[in-house]
Amino acid sequence: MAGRVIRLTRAELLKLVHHPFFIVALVILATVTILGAWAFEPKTTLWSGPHTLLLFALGAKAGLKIASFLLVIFGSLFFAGEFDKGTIKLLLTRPVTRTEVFLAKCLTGLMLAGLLFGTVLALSFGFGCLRGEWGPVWESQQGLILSTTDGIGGHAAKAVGMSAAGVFAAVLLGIAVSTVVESSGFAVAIALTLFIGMDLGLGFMREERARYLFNWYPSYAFDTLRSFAEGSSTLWRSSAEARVNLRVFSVPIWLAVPAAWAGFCAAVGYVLFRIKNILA
Amino acid sequence: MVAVLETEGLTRHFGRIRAVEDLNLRVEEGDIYGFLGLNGAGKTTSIRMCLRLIRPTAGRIRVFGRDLRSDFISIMSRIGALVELPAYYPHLSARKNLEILRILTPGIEPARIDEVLELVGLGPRRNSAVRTYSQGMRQRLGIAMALLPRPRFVILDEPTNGLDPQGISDIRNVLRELNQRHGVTILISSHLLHEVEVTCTRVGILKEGRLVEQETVEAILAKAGAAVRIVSDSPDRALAIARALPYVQGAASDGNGAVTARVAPDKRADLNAELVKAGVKVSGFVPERTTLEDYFLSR
Repeated sequence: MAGRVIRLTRAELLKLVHHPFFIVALVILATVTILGAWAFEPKTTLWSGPHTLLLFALGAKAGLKIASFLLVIFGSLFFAGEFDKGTIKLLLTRPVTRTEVFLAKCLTGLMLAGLLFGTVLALSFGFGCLRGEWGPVWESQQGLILSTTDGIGGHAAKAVGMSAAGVFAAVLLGIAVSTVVESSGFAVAIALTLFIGMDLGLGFMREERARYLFNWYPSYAFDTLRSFAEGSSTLWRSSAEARVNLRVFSVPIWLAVPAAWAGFCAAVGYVLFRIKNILA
Repeated sequence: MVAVLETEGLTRHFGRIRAVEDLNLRVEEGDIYGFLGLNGAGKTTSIRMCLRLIRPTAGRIRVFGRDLRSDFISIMSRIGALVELPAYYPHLSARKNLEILRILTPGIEPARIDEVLELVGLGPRRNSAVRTYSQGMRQRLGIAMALLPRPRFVILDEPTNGLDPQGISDIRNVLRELNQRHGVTILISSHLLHEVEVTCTRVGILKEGRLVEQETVEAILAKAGAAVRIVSDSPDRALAIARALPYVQGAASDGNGAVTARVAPDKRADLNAELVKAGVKVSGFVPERTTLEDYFLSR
């Protein structure tokens, strides 16, 4: 089974990198990430230029928002695109099972999420290094160190970790929708509507509720990192620090919530794909 | 003879619609099997069930003597299929499309891609995006996809759709060669009855989801008997008289004032005598060869 999943994943990656939207998506992502950091860059203070990690946080927040949208779009094309073109027949009349096809699509989606996530982080960090200054975070009036270099670096690492699972879950939301809707246009529209609805909902929800939506974490993580790098805050909020106790071990809520969403979407998508009659 | 494909009581209902009912299909090794039926007769549904694209409501499917459900992987590695319209990734070239399929099927060397593209006549356009292809070229690509894994059994649903006469002839020759030189068993679903007659060794006729006939082409043509074309002053009366006679196996008006009746050669004179006795003035009584189409339409 592993060999067949690897072969299917190779084929999926071949299709993905040749998809006309793939390069366009990367260009959009790079542009928004750089523009996000550049447009919101604060004026330099008396003391110094903006902190590298402030620019990193600004770029990453904008980039990850767009990356999540792109992942929802790509995810919703994974199955619906095959139904649309009828190519699902090609896949399912080869010596592979539906479980293997589903696993390969999810694996490809997660690889794509990893690529977009890495691209955003690399570009925003690169931009921060070019235009910002590395070092401790200073309090501008009295010249106090609010956060040491190691301290702010640790916060940045935590923000990266906290945002990752939320971005990865986005692709599985798209995949789940694409197993239900057989038209790629409708699948993209429905998945985006769901995702935008969730995103808009965050603005109206109390933080205790909002933290149960997977897309809350990337924005929260880099907003908080920005306030650390600006010197306007020094603590993560307790609602994002909570841990979910499972029987054997406990996991941080920023991992548990996106993982639960991802698991739910994957399970729904898998069951629907398994029972589907292919009439395409 | 060993059955390459055998279905037992295969049934598929879509709500109240009985798309396929108690289908007992048997395709033997070495056959070129023509699967015939009007639109909506259940051909494509049957083919989809034989490839597990659709789950049957009831019944069993055995391929190469093994149960399709339990031995799906090993069976599918020996099958090539083209179901309804050819499916492809339009922004990719024919080569890239086949490369994707090659990756999915173990044991196929890269050179096989060019081999099948040459076989179906797409060699010169192998690197063009498929969206720039004509309908006929896309159909050829669909056939190339079915032949890529060197299958022992090929299922082709309407393989000559959109092909010009030269293309139809080319594909016919390719299929014959595969069957005769490489021993590949082929199941073709088609509306082109002449094509089926000249290409296939056996046919199955599906009507309203049920298999009403499954025979060799020779047996069906022999059963159909020879036909005569009757030109007379009163085609309607001639038709009524012919239909009333027990030894006439079928009669139909050709719409041009003539009647075609299926009757054994030794009974032709009797038919002519009956017409004359009934006062029908017969000006033409021409023996004709019965085709599969005549037989199919008379069912």
